[in-house]
This record gives sequence, C-alpha cells and structure tokens, in this order.
Amino acid sequence: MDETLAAVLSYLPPPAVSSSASLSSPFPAASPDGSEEEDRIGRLPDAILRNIVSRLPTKDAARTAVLSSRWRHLWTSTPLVLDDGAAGFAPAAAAAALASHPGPVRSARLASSQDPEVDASVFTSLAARGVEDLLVAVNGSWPVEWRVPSDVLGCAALERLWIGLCQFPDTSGAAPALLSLQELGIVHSTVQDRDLHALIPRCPVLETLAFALSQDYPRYVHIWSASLRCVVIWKSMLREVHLDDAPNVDRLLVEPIADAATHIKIIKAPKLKILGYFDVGLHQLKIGNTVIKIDTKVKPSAMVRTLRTLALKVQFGVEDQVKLVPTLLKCFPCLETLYIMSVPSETPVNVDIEFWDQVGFTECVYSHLKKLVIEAVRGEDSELAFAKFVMERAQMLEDMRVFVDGSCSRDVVLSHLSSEGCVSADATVLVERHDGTPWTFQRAIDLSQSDPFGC
Amino acid sequence: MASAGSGDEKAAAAAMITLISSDNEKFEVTEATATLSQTIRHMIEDGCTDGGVPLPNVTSKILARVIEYCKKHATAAAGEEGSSSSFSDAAFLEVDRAFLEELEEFDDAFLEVDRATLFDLILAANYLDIKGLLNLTCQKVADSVKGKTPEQIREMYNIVNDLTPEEEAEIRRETQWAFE
Repeated sequence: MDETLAAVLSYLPPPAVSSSASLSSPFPAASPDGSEEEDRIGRLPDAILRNIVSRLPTKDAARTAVLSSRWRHLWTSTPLVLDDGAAGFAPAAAAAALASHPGPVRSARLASSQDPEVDASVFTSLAARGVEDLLVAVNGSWPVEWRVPSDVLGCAALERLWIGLCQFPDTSGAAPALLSLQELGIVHSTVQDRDLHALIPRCPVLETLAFALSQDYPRYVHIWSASLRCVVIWKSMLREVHLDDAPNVDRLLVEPIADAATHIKIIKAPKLKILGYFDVGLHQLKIGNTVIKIDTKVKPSAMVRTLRTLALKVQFGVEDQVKLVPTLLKCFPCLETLYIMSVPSETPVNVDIEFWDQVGFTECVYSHLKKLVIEAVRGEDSELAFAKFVMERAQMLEDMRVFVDGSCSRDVVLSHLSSEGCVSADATVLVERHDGTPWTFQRAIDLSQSDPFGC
Repeated sequence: MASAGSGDEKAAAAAMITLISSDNEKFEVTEATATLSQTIRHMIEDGCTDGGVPLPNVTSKILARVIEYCKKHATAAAGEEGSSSSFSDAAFLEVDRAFLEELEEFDDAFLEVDRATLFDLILAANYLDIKGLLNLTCQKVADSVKGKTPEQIREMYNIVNDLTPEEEAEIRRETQWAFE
C-alpha cells in the first residue's frame, strides 16, 4: 500500500467490519454427537441472523440472500453498511448496492472512482437515504485532486463525517445542511478557508473538529460555533487557530509539526479547560489583544482562568524558550495539571538557571498546581532548575512525575529530585524511565478522556 | 483488579445469586457476575431472585460456560472502574493494556467450541441479554462466513437450499455486483 494512504488510513475511523477472515478464526468444529446434521443456524431468530449479517463486508452480506428462503430477505432488512473492511468501498459497487437495498443506510466508507458521475450519484443517494452513523470518503488512488461531491453536505442525518486524501466539497453551490453532524475529521485533505468557515457555523450540533496532516489549506481555522467542544490540530501546517466565539470549547489540542508556526489566539472561549501541546519555540499565543512574549506583563484580560490542564513542548537548552515558560504560566492562573515535554536542542547553550529565582509570584504554581509531569528528561541543569522551581513553590502539589529519556541515568535525576525538596507535604515524586506517551490522535479526539495527555 | 479489598469481597459475598439451569442444576454466582445479564439485572431490581432464578432455556452445560464468561468480564468491568476512579498513570495504563490482552486471549480460547455449543451460547446470550457475549459469538459466525461462496456456507452450516432455480437466479441477478 502507498505510504501516504497507509498514514491517512491510520487517522480515519477503522472499518465497520473486518475483512480479515478465516485464517485467524477457523470454522467451528463439527459437534461430536452429530447434532449438526440439522440446519441450526436457520433456526436462530431473525434479530440474531441480522446481527451476524451486519458484521459482514457488504458483498458477503448481500450474498447471504441466495443461501435459502430463510436468508433471502435478511440482508435487505438489515440497515445497509457500505464497507469492504479495507480502504474504501468502490462507488460503482456502492451504487449497485444502494439500488438493491431499500435502506436505511447505517454507515458508508467509500473510495474515489475515476467516474465523477458515479461518485455524485452515490453521494446523492446517500444524502437522500439519510446515512446516519458515519461517512468516510477516502481517495485511495490518483488523482489526489479528487473532490468529494457536494451532495455530502446535504446528509442531514449524518453524525460523523471523515474525509481522507481529497478535497473538501465546494460550498458555494448549496448551503451545507449537516444538521446532525457531531464529528468532522479532515485528514491530509484540502479545505478552502471560505468553505470551512461557511460550514462550521452551519453545523448546529458539531462537537469535534479534527485536522490531521493538513498541508496547504485551510490556512486559518477560526472557530465561531456555539456547539463545538473539542478542536484537534494534528501535525498540520496551519497559520492560525482562533477561538473567536467558542462558548463550549473545552479543549484545544495540538500536535506540533516542524515549521508550522501556528498562531493560537484565544478570544472568547469561556469554558476552555485543556490546551496543548503548545510548542514554546514554534507557536505564538495571543489572548484577547495581548501577544504573550517573554517580557509581557500579564494583565487579567490576558488570562484564561478556566484552564486546568496545559501541555508545553520546551527546549530547555534555548534561553528564549525557557524564559517564556513563567510568562505562559501566568496566563493560566488556575492551572492544576502541567505537562512539559522536554525537547532536545540542536545547539544547547548554558541557560542561566539563576533566572528561576527571579521569577515573581506565579499564581497557578503557588496556589493550584496539583500535578506536574516532565517528559523526556535528559538530566540537563536547566530541566532540573525548572523542576525545583515548581517543587519549592507549589503548595498544593500532590503528584510529580519525571520520565527520563533513555540517554540519561535515572539515578542521577533521582539524586536531584526527591519529595523532600517539595514544599507540599503531600507531594510524591516519581522518577521513571521514559516509555512513550499515551498521547495519540485517537485519544485527542475522544471527548470521554478527561486528560488526553494521559500518563 | 487483583487488589480488590476485603470490604468488596464481603459486600459481594452478601449478594450471591442462585441460577437454576433447565436440568435443575444450581449455580451460585456473585451479583456482579450475574448482572452482566440484563435479564437477570432486571429480575434483581424487581426483587424476584429469592429462592433462585430459574433459567428454563439454558442447560447446565451452557450455563456453566456463560458463567465462566461473565465471571471473567465482571472482573474486567470492576478493573475499569477501579482504574478510572484512582489516579490514571502509566503504570495503570500498562496494567489495563495487559488486562485487555488477557481478556482478548480469554475470548479467543472461549470461542474454541463446536458448532452446536456456539449456537447454544448465542441463544443463551440472547435470552439472558448479555451484549458482549452475543456480539462475540455472532462475530465468530460472521468471521466463518466471510469470503466464502454460498455453496461453501451452505455446506458448512447444513443449510438446505429451498429456493427454486428461478428464484436463485433472480436473487443472483439482483445482487450481481456482490458476486463480482
């Protein structure tokens, strides 16, 4: 399989059915007492046989109709699932399946075809039939320029829409009417800025918006939505992410990618609780009208008092990055959980570690911080100085974890950091080997995760 | 998880349920195990489990297997609750992952049964309304059908084709795309 396609598929929801068959699950053995002589499967109730049929790839499911009169009407009375258990169902077969099945359609996972007319007719039909649960459109072959037919914007019952390796439909023709859409995922696909911003305010129940591997477009993601709760920007080359008017956004989750110097601006997000990973060397943060820089005097208008969990990527060998950290912390005075990913610097310099002694009162550290996790620690003085800064001030600290990188001795770090160094009597300090973070795209888009950064 | 305190054990011991199979065999199980069955959960809620729960549709052989499944998965459910209420951390994630793998292995081994038993388990899971077990067993049947021709499936499950040649030809015509 093409590498890009494989990457894209790893971000899309998995197939509804699995195509991997017989080898891993051998056919159940015959019964020793010979009672398998009779047609036991045919005596199962309809609901159970439909349950079985619904677990089959579409063609296998349809073929059960010829088994016997008992099976003839089962497939057509089971909600249609268009899914080959692999990359995507071919539109020509999907059109034929839709023609021989009365509906409803539960989910569809479609590939592109060379024939725009067939593609359009399938999406028209899906919109008309009211596809409910999930629609995945993935361009499994060339040309990459494949544009999802705009009929998809009329799927009023659809709850989840994901597109991969294609272009988002043009919204200029008809106003989008994705009235039930809760989750929109855009993977390695192009969305024109105007299409995106025409769409989001027209999805009245949209809760999750996720971008992964975006390259050129959109350039700007400006959120004006009363319903959105979760915005995920994963390894995407975005210039701006603005929470302009996002009364229900609870989390803005970002996995940085090199060179994507995204400007993150928080204007109106009165429920924002979780933010990260903010890459201190790459991203720029603006709260209200204030750009947060090293020497910014943080005023109340540049504070987000709702934020509880923050994750930062910091190069502790780069002085400008280290010195921005306390200013950032001052923007989030009620922070309870802080994740710091320590990123190696190309040209480490001796960062002035005395600097931490001159950092003034930092409300979140003194009064709220309960949990601090520092990941990929290499035992550099600058990392340890930061850890001690927190330990010596955080009155409420309960739980501090330091995950050391493979290149560094755990004992060395341990000798510098122990719970005795904590001003909080309840604090425990754990120093362990770094064994990968649970932070994944799947966790980021999962609203049930109270802490997507995890460990 | 293994660290369930003695208090939990006492509470569980206090709430034992007796299940009675069609051939009159009695099985003592904890309420946590029994309530994986929605059918039994409702009976407990309605307070009609005194003197045991008669299950006239389930033989002792199948009921024993069903209880084996429920015991394992009730522990899993308890483990999940335990880890979410405590502080989630890398160690717990590790334990969770190991436990889920163990559970998958258990399920795979559990499904190593002959066809008659598989169908009996499906019917029992359906009657007792145990969603996990019903999904697991239906998936097993679906997996055995995948990629097979209708002839192979008929042979596998002793399905008698009672369609006339004309009827069968008509269905094949209607779903020709599925045979390509």
